Amino acid sequence: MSGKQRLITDVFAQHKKELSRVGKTKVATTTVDESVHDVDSETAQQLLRDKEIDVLKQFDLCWEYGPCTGISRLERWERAEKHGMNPPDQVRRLIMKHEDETNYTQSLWHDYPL
Amino acid sequence: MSEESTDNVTFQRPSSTYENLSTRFLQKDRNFQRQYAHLYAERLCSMRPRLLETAKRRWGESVVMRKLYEMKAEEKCCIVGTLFKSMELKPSILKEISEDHNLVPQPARDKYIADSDTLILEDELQRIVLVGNVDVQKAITGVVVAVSGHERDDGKFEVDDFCMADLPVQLPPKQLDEDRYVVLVSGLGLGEEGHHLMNLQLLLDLITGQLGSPEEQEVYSKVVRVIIAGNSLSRNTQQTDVLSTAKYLSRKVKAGTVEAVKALDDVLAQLASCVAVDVMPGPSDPAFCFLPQQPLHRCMFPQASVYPTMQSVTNPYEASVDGVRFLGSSGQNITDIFQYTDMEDGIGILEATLSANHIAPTAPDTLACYPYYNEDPFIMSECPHVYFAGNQTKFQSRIFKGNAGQKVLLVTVPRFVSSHACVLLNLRNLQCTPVVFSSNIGSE
Repeated sequence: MSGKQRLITDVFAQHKKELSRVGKTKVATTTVDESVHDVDSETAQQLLRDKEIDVLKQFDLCWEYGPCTGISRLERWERAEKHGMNPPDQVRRLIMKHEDETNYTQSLWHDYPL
Repeated sequence: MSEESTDNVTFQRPSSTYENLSTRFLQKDRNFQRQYAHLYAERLCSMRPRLLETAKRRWGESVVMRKLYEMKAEEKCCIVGTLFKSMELKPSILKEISEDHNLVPQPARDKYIADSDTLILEDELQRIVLVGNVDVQKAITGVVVAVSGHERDDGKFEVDDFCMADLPVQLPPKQLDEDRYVVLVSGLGLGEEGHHLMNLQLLLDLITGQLGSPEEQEVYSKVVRVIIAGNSLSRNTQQTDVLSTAKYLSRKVKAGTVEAVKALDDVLAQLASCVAVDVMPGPSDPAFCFLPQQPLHRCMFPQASVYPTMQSVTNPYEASVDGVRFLGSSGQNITDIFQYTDMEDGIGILEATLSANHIAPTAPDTLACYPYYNEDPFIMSECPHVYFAGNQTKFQSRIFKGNAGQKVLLVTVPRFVSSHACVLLNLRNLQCTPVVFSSNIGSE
């Protein structure tokens, strides 16, 4: 039992660490030769990112659009659109803007095995 | 006799218009990572508007439509959801694993129904047990229905009435001024032990016009298409023991299907030289078992595939021949429902699937099917004129009349290997007759 629980928290911790590490290294490289102003813009970007991811998470958690595991967010959005449920257009725009980032394209549960 | 030899009549086979409408059954991608929840969600979403419409017409515009979570106790309302039959005897892999240690595997049965079966209605979020005016053993898992009634104190739903969606609109068939026929045949069973090919050869010769009196030849010259509805190869050709034997033992063993496929190629070549042929795969053919089964590859039929008339198609298969819309399967959908309901009749089950607007409602529950997420190709979006199922025990046919004047001919096509019969269907008046071949030649 305890072994299993640790595994889940590991996944959560890793996920968060990765995100923050990416942010930190970027900050570190820029601060070497750039001004303090850029550090601020980096944190601002991070904040914006968090907000965007949050919007996408809310979309995942909206049950009206059907199950979200195993398919990409865009696929789910398009299915909802097909059934005339009017999914928020912002979600689609966000996904399209970050087409190469799994954080944006895949659902909340993407990292978990089925 | 002398008259026949002097008077050489030739009958011209009429040409027909044909359109293959099965593209939705063709596999576009192969992703097996998904769960089946998507298919059920998709099915419910697609069927809901149609059911709401039917429910309003049946129970009046003022009927209260609720989702399960909005339902109030004792309020009379109408709910749209997917049926699920909870069955104790249903074979379950989990049960088998948990009982692995000490018990014998569950026995194979003809039917898995029991008195303790209960019917459950599911919508997007919740499920509720149905009681009252529903026949549990007639219900089919996976069918989307609308029920009207109220929730009882004990949390069960008392059903007063229920309905399924109306059939979609049917285009009137084209009026033909002459007889034209389509032959339906299934279960050729090549490779079956003790199977005498004489009857099959009679069938081929009759269709290709090498047999019969001039009158018969005239009739069979008007056959414009032959649809072979699955199981062209016998189940015996699938040697599953090869899988469990060591490779070095089975290396030199020829697969049992090879000879049978060669024989099938012969059969198809004879037919395709004269008439258009559609070959559907069935559960015992060399194709994937899950629905929709993909067309058998042309390279299996080197002789037959040179003819443009030979076509390998999907199962289920939908096509329009001279304006008559055919829809049908190789019969595994019907056989599967047979096991999980008390319906005995192939034609009755076929009718039930038609009124459910769904070719294979038990997929993915007890019938293997591809995990679709954004479409359910088994939903009937247009009403066919002929709805058939292959590999049934006997020939039966029936006219089904829809609420909006739709007329659908239901046909169960018997296994050729056991019944020696095919079905001759007249496109002009949608009448069908079985043609039975029986010979004593070759059998002692």
